[in-house]
Amino acid sequence: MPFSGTFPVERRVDSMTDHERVIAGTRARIAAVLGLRTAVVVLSAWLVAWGVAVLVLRGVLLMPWQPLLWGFIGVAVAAVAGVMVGARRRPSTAAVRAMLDAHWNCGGLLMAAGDLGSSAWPIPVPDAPQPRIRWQGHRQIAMLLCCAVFVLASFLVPIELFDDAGSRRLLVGAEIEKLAEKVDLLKEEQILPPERAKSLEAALEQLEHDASGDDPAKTWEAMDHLEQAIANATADAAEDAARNAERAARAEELASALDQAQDEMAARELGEAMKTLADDVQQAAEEDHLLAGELPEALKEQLRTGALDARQLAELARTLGKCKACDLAKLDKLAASKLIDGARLAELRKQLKTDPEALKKMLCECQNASEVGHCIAGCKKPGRGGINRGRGDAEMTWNDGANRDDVAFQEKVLPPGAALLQESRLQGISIADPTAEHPSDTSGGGSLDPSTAGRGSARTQVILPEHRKIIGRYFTREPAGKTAPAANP
Amino acid sequence: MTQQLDQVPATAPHAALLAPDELSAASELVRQVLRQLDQTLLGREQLHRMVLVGILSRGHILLEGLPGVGKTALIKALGQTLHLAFNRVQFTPDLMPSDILGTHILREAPGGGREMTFQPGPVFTNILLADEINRASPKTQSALLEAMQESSVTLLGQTRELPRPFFVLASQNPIELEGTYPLPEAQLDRFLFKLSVSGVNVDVLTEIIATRRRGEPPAPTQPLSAIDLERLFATMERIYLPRPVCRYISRLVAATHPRATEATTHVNAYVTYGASPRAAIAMAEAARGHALVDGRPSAGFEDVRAVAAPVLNHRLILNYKARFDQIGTLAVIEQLLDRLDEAELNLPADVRIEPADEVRA
Repeated sequence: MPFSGTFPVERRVDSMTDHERVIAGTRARIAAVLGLRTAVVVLSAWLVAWGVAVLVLRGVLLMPWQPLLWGFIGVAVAAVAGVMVGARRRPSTAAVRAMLDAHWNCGGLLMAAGDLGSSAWPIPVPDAPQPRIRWQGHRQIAMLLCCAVFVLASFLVPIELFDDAGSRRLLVGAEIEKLAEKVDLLKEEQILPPERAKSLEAALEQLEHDASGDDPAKTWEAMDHLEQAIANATADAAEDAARNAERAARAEELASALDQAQDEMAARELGEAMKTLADDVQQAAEEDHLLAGELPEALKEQLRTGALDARQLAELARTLGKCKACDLAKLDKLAASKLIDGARLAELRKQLKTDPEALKKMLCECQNASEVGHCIAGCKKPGRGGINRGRGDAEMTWNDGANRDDVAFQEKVLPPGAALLQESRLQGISIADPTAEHPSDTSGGGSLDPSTAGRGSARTQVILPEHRKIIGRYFTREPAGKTAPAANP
Repeated sequence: MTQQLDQVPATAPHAALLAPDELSAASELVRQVLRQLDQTLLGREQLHRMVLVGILSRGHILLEGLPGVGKTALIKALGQTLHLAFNRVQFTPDLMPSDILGTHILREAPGGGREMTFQPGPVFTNILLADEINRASPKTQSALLEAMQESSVTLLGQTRELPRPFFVLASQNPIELEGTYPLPEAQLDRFLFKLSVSGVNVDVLTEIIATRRRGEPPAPTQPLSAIDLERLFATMERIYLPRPVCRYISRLVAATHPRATEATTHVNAYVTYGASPRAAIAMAEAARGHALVDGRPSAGFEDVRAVAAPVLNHRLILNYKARFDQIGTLAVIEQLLDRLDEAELNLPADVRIEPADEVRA
């Protein structure tokens, strides 16, 4: 951009004062041009630095753009500094005088006048005494504009482009939120200790922050791990709640039956039944803190003695019903959050349905205390017992066992999958009926499967255990000579 | 007719600028000399100006030109105009130093007996015309070194001063180089100017033929007196040389050296040796003389530019590449003058200052 200008002169300047004024004016104009030029250069440098800083701060530190507008102060400072530095580079008065002397073809008269003072020699002065100062600043101006555009772009570019991790972030917010809700529920229901809940929440938050699309498997694996931990805690709590609810339901049934049959039963049988009820309630109270808290102290004392009147039996039945309802409510919440299977809860509800009238009849028909004990014990059995009948916690009935003497086990290297069983741990005993799984007839070995490969080898089949107790008894090593009872299917 | 003009009153050179009336007398004398020279030799106005500048600068001048272009006539006319003693020596290969400087001869003493007396040579004059100086042997050429630099001659251990002013105006033939001895650089450096005397155009030739019998130039009608010449030299002493002009001369001479800070591409490519400090001194004096001839009390940048070529063209030693590329010293000097910023503003390359459009006198 050419910068030029002429000093309008309407009269001839031939006095020293006018010469000096023209020299000073020329010098000032040169200083202005130099200042402008240097300001443009410095400003360009500042704009580049500012733009880079904006990009770095937005891209690395994810800083919002508003505070970065303070860089405008730097623009002003750079402009002023550039003008000052450029102006300081202006030529000396003697140099400007010499330049004007040459341009005006004064033959040294102007310089001599400046050195020696006034003289009688007229100095030839052009009509336009101020020389034209041209700045070929196209390149600098273009550079300045480019730098300005660069700064503008550094502000306008979306920050997501800088967030490299964010650009490939794995969107697991919904899943994390669901898990967080579950953790909140478990914390609210006091299923999880506060410390454990806090650590899980921290883990969820960290997982959400670190979730990256570069390695989604790691994120999903971590989420699975957390979900499994939550599920384990939930399963334990659900098992406890279900067990407590069942105990409470059975005790409530017995209490209600005794309350109704109090007048019809003999004192001895009634006492035996009361004693059984007291034992059951006390055992339940030891494991169920809720029940322990709900039982009045007087009732606890009476339970120890084993003598309860009608009012106390009714109160006991009401308390037990309340505890059962609380446990069921907890399970309802867990089922609503899909932490436990709703079908299982429904099944549990069916099992918790009691029939005090029937129990009362059975108790009234008992002839002695022993029969009362059997009757009550029979009612407590969850099933008839067997490897495929009854629930998992049903008592097994063992009869004549096989003689294991002189029987040598054949040592055999177990397949690798068997080793995993040794590392398994007991998570709990389900009260649900065992489900017979019928795996496929073939072992699923693909082309390596001998049965499908057609090599005529023996047919193999994986036999899964159907009842834990049978497996446990099988591996129970009793002292030599003793005969292990065999399972009676 | 030997003039002793070394008693020029010393003036305080920069106490004050010459007043217009002080300079006008000298300017009138200069115009008178130029007018005489221009009347004597037609069509040589610029050459006459430069010769006069050299004389006012008290420098020696080397004239280079073809035979018959008026070199000898110019010098002869100059001597007559300035009313100075003039001797001409035709340099030949067998010319001996004693033929120029003089020699001691054995003579009968007036009182009886014999004695060695010094017989001055033609160098003992105000203006010595060394015609075809490059035809003499180096030994004879070197005999002029002391005379040109010191204005004195030393023979048999005795130094004799030459008359003041003393000028050597030499000529050399640029085309007939067979049997010549090129002047050594040391001697070339002692010449203030090397002026090229070219031919004249048809109109001038016609005028010469029409107005002059046998081409003989008319004798000067208004020769200067010794006092006038003294006044001229005194005025010359008071021509002001501003400091920026001194700086410009220094930078110009320094830039003639290859790989100098402000050396141009031509200098770096074609110059083997640049000009000596003597060249800067000569240029300063010549700029003063040019200003005086122009009628100004101070020397400016244009005076330096006017005398730069005659001062520098015989002082720059070009290399073989210059000959190969047909680059002469004038091209090198022209580029120097074109590229060098007189005022040394030290502005960035993209900031340019253009001169004003018109100049009012």
